[in-house]
Amino acid sequence: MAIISFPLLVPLLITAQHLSGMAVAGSDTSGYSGLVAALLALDAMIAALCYLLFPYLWRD
Amino acid sequence: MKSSWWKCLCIVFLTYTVIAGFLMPVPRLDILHESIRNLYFHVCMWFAMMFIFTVSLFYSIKYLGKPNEDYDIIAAQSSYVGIVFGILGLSTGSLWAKYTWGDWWTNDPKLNGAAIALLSYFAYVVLRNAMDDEQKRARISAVYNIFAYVMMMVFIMVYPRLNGVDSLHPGNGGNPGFNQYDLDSHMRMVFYPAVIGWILLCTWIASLAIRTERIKRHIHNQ
Repeated sequence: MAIISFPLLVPLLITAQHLSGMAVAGSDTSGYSGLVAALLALDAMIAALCYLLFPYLWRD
Repeated sequence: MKSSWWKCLCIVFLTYTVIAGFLMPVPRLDILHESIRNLYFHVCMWFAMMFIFTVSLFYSIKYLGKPNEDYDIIAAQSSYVGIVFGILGLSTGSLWAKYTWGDWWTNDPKLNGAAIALLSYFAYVVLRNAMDDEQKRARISAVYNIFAYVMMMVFIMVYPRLNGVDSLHPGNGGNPGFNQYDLDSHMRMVFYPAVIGWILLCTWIASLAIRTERIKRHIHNQ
């Protein structure tokens, strides 16, 4: 069942991958802030959704 | 008959879209040329998909609030129809890409984003088929659906618009923006009815799927 959550984590992975790609290339730093903000926003959103939805999953 | 006026509207709008979409004058733009007519089909598929996924999300939230089997049926069938429209959106986009960008598939963030968003809805189908207990299935898939919707929104609406993410799509990375075509009043006269027509068609298909599923459940429960 846990494997089903993989597609949901792909946005996080891709943003992180994009960011680390830029960090390694080290040339153009203009897009950093937007991507970091997106990463943090994604984290916050996932945490909030988990907090809200977990009780429904658990109610068995 | 009274309640099916929107079906007539749907047929009228889509007939108009196909006829006017192929025959009305369009602006001559570099690269795009006549292929700009695909706007009436490709973009509308995504609008219809978003609409029906929003319906699905709404009923999933409603199900979590009050576990009613009917909400689950509506949420599930709407998602399935949304997936069909998503696949149509990808394939019309792929055709368009072949004739404008020169390849069936490019590593464009919007393309990959849409593909991953659809992937998460495929997982929704897998998830639903993996469970036998009806109530458990309805509850878990409702929770998953909310997650999938948020991730899809992030991927289709937010991610391609970030700085540092280049897209070949209009309005991104120095490409001419959508507004530029939209300003052309001839295109607008076809585009708006097309959006409404496709959304209505999507609703129509979903309503048929929902009714079929209700009958199936009813027969099964007898």
